Amino acid sequence: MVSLELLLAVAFAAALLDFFATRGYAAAAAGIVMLAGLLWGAGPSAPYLKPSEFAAFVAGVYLAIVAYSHFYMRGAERLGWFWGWMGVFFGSMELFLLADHWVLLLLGWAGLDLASWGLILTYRDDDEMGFVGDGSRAGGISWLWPPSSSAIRSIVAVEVGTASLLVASAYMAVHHNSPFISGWGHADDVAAALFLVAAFAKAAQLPFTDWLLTAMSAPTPVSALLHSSTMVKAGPILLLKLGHLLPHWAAEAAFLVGFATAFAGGLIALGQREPKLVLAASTASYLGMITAIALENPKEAAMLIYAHGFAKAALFMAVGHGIHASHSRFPQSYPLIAKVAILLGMLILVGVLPVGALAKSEAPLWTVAVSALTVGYLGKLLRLPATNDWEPMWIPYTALVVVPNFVFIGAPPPVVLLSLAGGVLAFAGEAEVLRRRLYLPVLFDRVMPSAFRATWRLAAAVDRAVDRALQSSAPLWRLAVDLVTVVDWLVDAALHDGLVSAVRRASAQVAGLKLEYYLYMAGVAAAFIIAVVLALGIWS
Amino acid sequence: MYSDVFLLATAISGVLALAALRLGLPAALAATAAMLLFLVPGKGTLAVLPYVGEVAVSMDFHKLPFVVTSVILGLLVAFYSPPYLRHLGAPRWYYGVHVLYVLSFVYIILFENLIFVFLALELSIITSFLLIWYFGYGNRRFVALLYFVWAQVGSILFLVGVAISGTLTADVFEAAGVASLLVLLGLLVKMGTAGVHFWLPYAHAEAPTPLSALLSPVHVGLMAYWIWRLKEGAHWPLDALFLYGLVTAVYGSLLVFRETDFKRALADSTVANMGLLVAAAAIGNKSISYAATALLFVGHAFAKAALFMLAGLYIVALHTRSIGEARWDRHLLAVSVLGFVALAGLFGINLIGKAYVAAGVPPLLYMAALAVAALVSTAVYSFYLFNQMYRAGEGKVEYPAEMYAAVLAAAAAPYLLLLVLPLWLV
Repeated sequence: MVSLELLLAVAFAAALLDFFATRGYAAAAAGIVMLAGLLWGAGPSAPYLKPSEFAAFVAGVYLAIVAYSHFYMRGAERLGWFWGWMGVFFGSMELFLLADHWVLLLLGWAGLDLASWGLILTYRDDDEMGFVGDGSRAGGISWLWPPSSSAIRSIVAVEVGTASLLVASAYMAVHHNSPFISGWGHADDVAAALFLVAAFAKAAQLPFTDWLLTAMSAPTPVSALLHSSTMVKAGPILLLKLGHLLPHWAAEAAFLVGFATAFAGGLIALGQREPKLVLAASTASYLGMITAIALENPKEAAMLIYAHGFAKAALFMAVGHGIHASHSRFPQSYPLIAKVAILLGMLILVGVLPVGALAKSEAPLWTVAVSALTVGYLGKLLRLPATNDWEPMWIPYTALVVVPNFVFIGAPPPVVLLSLAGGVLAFAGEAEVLRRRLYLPVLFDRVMPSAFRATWRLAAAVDRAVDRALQSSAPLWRLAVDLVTVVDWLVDAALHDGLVSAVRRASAQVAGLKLEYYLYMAGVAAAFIIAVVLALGIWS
Repeated sequence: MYSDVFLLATAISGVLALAALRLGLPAALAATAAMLLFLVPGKGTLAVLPYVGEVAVSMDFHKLPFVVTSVILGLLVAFYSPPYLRHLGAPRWYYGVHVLYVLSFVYIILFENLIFVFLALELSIITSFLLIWYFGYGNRRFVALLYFVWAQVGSILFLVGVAISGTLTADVFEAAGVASLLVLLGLLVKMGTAGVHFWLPYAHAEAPTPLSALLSPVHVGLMAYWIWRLKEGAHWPLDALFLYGLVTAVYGSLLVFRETDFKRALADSTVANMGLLVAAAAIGNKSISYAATALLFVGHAFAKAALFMLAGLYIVALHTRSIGEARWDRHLLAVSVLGFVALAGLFGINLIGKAYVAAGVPPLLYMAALAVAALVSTAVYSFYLFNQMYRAGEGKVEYPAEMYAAVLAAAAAPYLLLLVLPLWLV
């Protein structure tokens, strides 16, 4: 029996190998080994890990994306960087999924942050392919994000979640006296709140949504991976892992935030002209849907994770095919096969094709409205003309929207057909407020940086003031030194000068008294008296 | 028995240190390598002195990470130094003083007698003072004196506190009231936590860079070991200390944003990290506290040393200390990613150290929020600095290979150490 530890070691070793070899063959091998091992029934050989139902799914999607990347990234620069971080991304997601020890969970979780940050930096800052936005100005900011801006936006946003997860899981490990997640009992309110923040930040839920859109600076295969099976999916999967430990109100909070994001994301997607941004906002929307029901109906949420994963990976790769063929971030046409895949992906998302239908079998009614938005924004892509481009990169993504339908089979609930009416939205224009992503970027690029700048400037000013005060207290030290000098001089003068000269003066005074003359006279007088006394004595 | 090992190691490294005053690098490397002898585990008494009592030394599992990190970094920095010292025009005796400085780190940890810990602190202050005084930047004599006075204040407060407590050995240390506060204050001044940190950015930035690479992460960080070690007998208000540590972490992180100078930014970052270390050492549960302190110390030491050495590489190669003027090729990009990510605590053993610090957070909303703020802010400034450097742009930089090798080794250490992960997954 293969052990999960070994599979993870292979995944990370492959990342290192690819980093140096810059080829991506190790990534393919690691994907195959992982998938085969998991399907073979690999188990943990130590209690640190625990099998996860999502592990094979992630490996399968990863494998398809790796195959696609071999075509998409051909001729690109920085391939070692790209493949190395892709490997870390994959390994971290698997580690996160399989971890039962809280520290391993954190390593996987943080590895995702790190790898996504690295992957966003793949394109150089002066490479147009890495830009997000059209360069217009609105709300006091420039709507153009080069990769380095996107990278720091993403890491700052998700780090809030990671820090929250650190505190919450550390607290649980200590409080329940068990490093193993399976040994934890109920979370109290503070821990539950932190877990929710962690999941929301990772899954790009409101108000964290916007980092996900600028993360589009990364090459398309990265987006395909990040949006389908890794990174953002870690948010709801965390909720699935811990759902049974969270208090009742957590489900309500998750529902509210998820519900709001589902609609906000769908509407933002309708307003975007850049196809990758359409899909990114759509991810926020679907992650909202999954987050909203993750704690109420975990089984349903899990099925949605699969269906959305297959569809979104394929959608990104199909759109990427158009970008690759047209060398533009705003392709005006798509290869025919890409359009077919987009259509199939859309039908999975809304729940018409078997895998999507299975996922939607227990979905609440409001999700139909989200699906209607989906048909609207994906319909816009489908309206563009088709071209004839059959570069083999179509195979992996088409497989992703076809094959799962033969594995996960459900019959579409009739109500989902209503969502197809959303197709009329495909003919609507882009409202300014939606095109501007509800002005969330203004919050992240103007309001918060200004507030933060004011804070650090205040700290720096206080610090400098105290520092200056300490340094300008030097004259005080000088004064103290002078004071001591004076006192010392006084004492010195009193002791040494004063005493000596007093003795000298006394001595001179005494010397001036002609003491010897008086002594002589006294001696003579004494001798005379003694002589008289003696004479009288003898006489008598 | 251990006392013999101790004396032997002292004799060898001491003689070689003196030799290094004349012979330079080879003797310095040999002297530092000889310090690995101290790692033999054991406990022994060197002498019993009137008033001072038993002068015991010991090496145990808890001291290991601190001593090993000091010695390994001592070696790496010595190996790194020659091109830098040529750049400075420093004479060979620099290496001798460097070795004595590293030796003082070992002593700070090994001595069980607190009076001798004080003496070891004095050795570290004097040696580092000399190097700043002769080889520092800017207004180096002013900075050297500033550093000397603050450091003396710290170590003397520690000494006075220990003396008043009347318990001069770490194992039986027991202090209350003024004595316990003086010991704490002394250690905090030496660490440069918020409020008593004013000397730190000057000293760490203006010191010659190979010295900064030891001064900033190791010298100040070692005090965390003593906070951890003495906290039981000292009866400090640990909850307040934990809170203070987190506040320092946030405050120090904010200070980083004011800097354009690479070395000063790293120095401010040390203030933030000392905050995390104080919080780590102040956790009530002693084994969690130890894991947090040791992991953060080691992770921060390697990451910070790597980044200081990187700053030094830029000083030699590009004659600049401004982070906005640094250029990178793919090799330099790789080490800066490794260094800044570890410093951020986003990965490597630094992440695990942060996780264990988080384990000390009491279940109160405001404490949890402060902890999140501390963990986020210490991460964000690292990425901010990296971003500054990244945006400075790609360029051709020519630098000596040995400098790069040392930076790479230090920057990779926090990740390689993850391989011994099973040690603390219990």
